[in-house]
Amino acid sequence: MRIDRIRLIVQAFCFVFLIYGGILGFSIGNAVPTMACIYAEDRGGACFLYPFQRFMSLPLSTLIGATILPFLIYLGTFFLWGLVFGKAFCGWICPLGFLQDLLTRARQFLGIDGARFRWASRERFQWVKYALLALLILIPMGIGNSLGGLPKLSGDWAVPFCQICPGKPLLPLFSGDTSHLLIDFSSPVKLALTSLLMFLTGVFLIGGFVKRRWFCLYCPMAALLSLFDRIGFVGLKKKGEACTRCGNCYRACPMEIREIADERDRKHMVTQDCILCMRCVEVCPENKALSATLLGFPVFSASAAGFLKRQGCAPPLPIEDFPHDSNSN
Amino acid sequence: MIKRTRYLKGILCCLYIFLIAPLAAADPGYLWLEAGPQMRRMGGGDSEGAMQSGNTNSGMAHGRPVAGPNAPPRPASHARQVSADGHGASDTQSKSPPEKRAAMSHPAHYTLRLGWPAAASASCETLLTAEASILRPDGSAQKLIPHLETPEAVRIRDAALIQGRYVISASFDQTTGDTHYRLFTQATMRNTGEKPQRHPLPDQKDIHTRVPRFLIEDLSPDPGKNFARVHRKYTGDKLPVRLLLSEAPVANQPVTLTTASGWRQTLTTDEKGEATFALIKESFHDNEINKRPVTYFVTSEIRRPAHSRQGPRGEVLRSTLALLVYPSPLDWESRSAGLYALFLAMAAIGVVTAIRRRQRKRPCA
Repeated sequence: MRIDRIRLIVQAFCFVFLIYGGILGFSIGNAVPTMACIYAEDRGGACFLYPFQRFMSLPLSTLIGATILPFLIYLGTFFLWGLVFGKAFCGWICPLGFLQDLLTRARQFLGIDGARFRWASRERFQWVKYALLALLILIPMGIGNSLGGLPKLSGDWAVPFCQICPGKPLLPLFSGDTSHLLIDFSSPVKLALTSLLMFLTGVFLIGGFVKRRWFCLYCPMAALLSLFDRIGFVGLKKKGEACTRCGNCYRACPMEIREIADERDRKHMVTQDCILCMRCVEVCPENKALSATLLGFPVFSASAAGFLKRQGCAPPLPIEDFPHDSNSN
Repeated sequence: MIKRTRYLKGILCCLYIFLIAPLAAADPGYLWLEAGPQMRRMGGGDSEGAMQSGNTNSGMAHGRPVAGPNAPPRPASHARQVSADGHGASDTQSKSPPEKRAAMSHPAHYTLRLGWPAAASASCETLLTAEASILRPDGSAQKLIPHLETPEAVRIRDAALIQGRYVISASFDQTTGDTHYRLFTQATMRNTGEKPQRHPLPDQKDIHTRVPRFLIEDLSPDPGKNFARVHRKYTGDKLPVRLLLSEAPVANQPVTLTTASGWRQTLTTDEKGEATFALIKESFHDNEINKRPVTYFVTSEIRRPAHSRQGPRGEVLRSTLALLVYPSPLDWESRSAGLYALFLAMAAIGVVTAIRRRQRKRPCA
């Protein structure tokens, strides 16, 4: 079975668990490094960013005083999740990623061509996810503290990223909750944030239809999970001497990561945008040029035989088994 | 014409200030409990109470909230606070260990107020003689001693660390001329915290000694596990109430709902002593939309001749139920606007994408 099909099944299972797991009483906590929205009532686990922003909005004296222990527990749980699964959360577990993949499949089913970012545009907007990450730390801090002598921000700024994350209106929809599809007129801040949310949700749906995994390029969770690119248990390694730079991996990559095909000297291939979907390993025709690793040990490696099998071709025969020309003597 | 109206208003004001107000001052009005500043959670929307009192303590803090550093020392007679089973605040607040509160929990902290709904009210020192009690979810009941927390606020407080519904009652007596006023009020709150372990009921003789107890009971349905909004009522909600006199329902008794801006509606109780009000919309958004609550009052009054020949000739029983009412979310949130914005964004992005694709596919000249 092709790996993207296996991935789709795993994603569907994780989606159902994260959106409806709470009905059966299952929960994996509120520090999961993936976009499992906390606003979905029957959730089986919730995104780390919501409690993180709540913690950051506490006064600094409270944060490092009374709530330091719960805060450290949250951080520790997040660290463990990130260490064990790393970017696999993005490719295999994230509900918003799953929605984008479904939109891509719908587009393919309708026979509409997808779009690709130009390399220049892609490079130009790499900083966005880090800027969002910085803002989701700084804005909540400005609620409980006076940053640089500035006046404190109002409570309307609480959990700023969640207020503009497309997951907030979309994921609760799956449990029948439409209460987040609205514009809040109660204050200018709320009005701006809810309008932005509606706009971004529209862009998410259309963008996800046109371009594979476009939202992941700007996701601050991806920026956070980049901390585990090198130290995470799950990895992606490249054997430069086996690579022929055919470009199959780049063309198959949903995140359009150029380095995977370009760089032959690099061993660790989990880059800041990689979602560990393993598509590159699957489509690589060179023996062991790319390998998915667990704790450093290869668990899934590229091979010519596997490549041909997945392409629906017969595996190549050994040289000695080639039929000899009967007329030659 | 306008000038005449102004003159008339001026004359009426003078009449009120110099004639009606002094006469009315003899009547103590109603007694009610207003949510104190410690019941407003930190960062949780409005901070009206905190602003009024100048007390910056919040119920969310883990440490025991105490009177502000500028609060005047309390008289020794008022400094006592019952703490038989460790729930009540004690005089040595600074020495007691900090309350370990659940995240969404807050203490029962109320200001006693005397006056007329939607008009002048005060929390004066005379209220230090009021009697107050709390009935906790575990069945334990306790007297609460009012204390002067700030120069303008006589308050009662209980740690309220147990999960469930609390009933706080207060009463105040005053004799003016030939009339004896008996004022009663009751408030309910729900709280998170430790699950209640039902204690054997303590001796409650000292709590329900004030006969007759005239109460307006809030019969709003139990919101269940939804602790986050349990003490909230929104405009448009129904408010069923029941009148009880000495724990017996009072039928055919007028009950009045007064909104913060003075609008009134009077209903008569049925044979079960019940009446149901609709919490009508208030003018919350005069200058800008806000989510701050206002106080609505349900009041009732019974006038009757005194039982004994000595003392005052008449007796007035008054009861008040004061509740915070929030503007309905329907007033500030628009789903249709949200859907329009979403579809507009999708259409705009879709059209832009289609145009760009078409331009790219167009063959070069």
